[in-house]
Amino acid sequence: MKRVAAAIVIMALMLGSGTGILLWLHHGTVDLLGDIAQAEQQVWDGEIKEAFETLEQAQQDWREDEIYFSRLLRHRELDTVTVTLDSLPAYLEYGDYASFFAMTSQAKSMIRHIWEAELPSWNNLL
Amino acid sequence: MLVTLMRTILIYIVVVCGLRLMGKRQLGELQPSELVVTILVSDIATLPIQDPGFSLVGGAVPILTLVCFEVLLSAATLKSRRLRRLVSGTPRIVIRDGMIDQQEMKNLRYSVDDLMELLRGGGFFDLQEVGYAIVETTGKLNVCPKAACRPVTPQDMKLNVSSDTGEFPILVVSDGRIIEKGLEFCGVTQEWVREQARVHGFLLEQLFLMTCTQDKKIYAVPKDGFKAESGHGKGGEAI
Repeated sequence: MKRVAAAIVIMALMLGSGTGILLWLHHGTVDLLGDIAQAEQQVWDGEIKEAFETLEQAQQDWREDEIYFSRLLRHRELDTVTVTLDSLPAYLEYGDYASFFAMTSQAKSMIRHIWEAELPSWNNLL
Repeated sequence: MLVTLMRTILIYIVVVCGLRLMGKRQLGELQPSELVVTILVSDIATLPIQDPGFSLVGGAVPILTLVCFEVLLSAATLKSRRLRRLVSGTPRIVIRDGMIDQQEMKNLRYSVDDLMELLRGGGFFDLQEVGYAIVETTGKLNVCPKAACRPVTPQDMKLNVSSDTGEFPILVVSDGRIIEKGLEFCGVTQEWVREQARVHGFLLEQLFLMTCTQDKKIYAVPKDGFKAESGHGKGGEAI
């Protein structure tokens, strides 16, 4: 019975931590998507300096989250987001706004994908 | 490289812990569900080892999930006979009263060659010696020979034999070290074991192994290179 009890405890821990991680991932991705959307709006409004600051903050937040996400999620998607986020300030710096918006769109798609891929939905299960 | 090395060791620890959690039952003859878990665990374990892009936790979670589910399922099958039949199947009799059940063999997709091979594996070369043959849920064939072909037992000969109680030998010394559980089983002390070794001209550390029964009958083998002072028993020989 000790084994059964251990199995129940491990299963409960995995279910609990899985749910917690999902909530944490949701929080992290929503924040990051918000930051990117804000930077896009600032570029539309011609507030390039503010957009730089927003992106810098977004990169910093992402790096902090990425350390923990990389322990649980596939590294490839996370690396793509990191690389894309790192490229955004350069586009702003050289005034290539078309490429900037293309890359923000790519980053948002990838961030949404990371979140959606972890959801226990029928699409993911099947 | 170092990362792969460490990840491999960590996955090894997870798999070993998982198999320990599954228990001894799963390490012998495998039931269908246990075979599935074993195959899946061995396959999943290679993913985080081979691919550094795969998170270690992502590899450990499915292993632990499979093992825990298997433990819970086997606990549930203990309670429910119907579930046990569903998960493990039922033993099938392929030879009954010396007659081969051909329909059952078809159901099991057993050829005559398969049956003969398994019978020979069990030490039965003549089909006429077999009374019953049962294919267990693990796929193993167990055979009950016809009464006329069974080995003679003391009971058949109406012989009086002494009781087996207390005659079961258990290891009390292994490679010069005392096995506490063995002492407990035999009801002896470390001092008694040392004394027995001394009586035979050895120090405890010079013994390769010593077994003891509850009747305090001992059997010991000294390590290579040691010879008893009393002259009986030399390296590698029993005393």
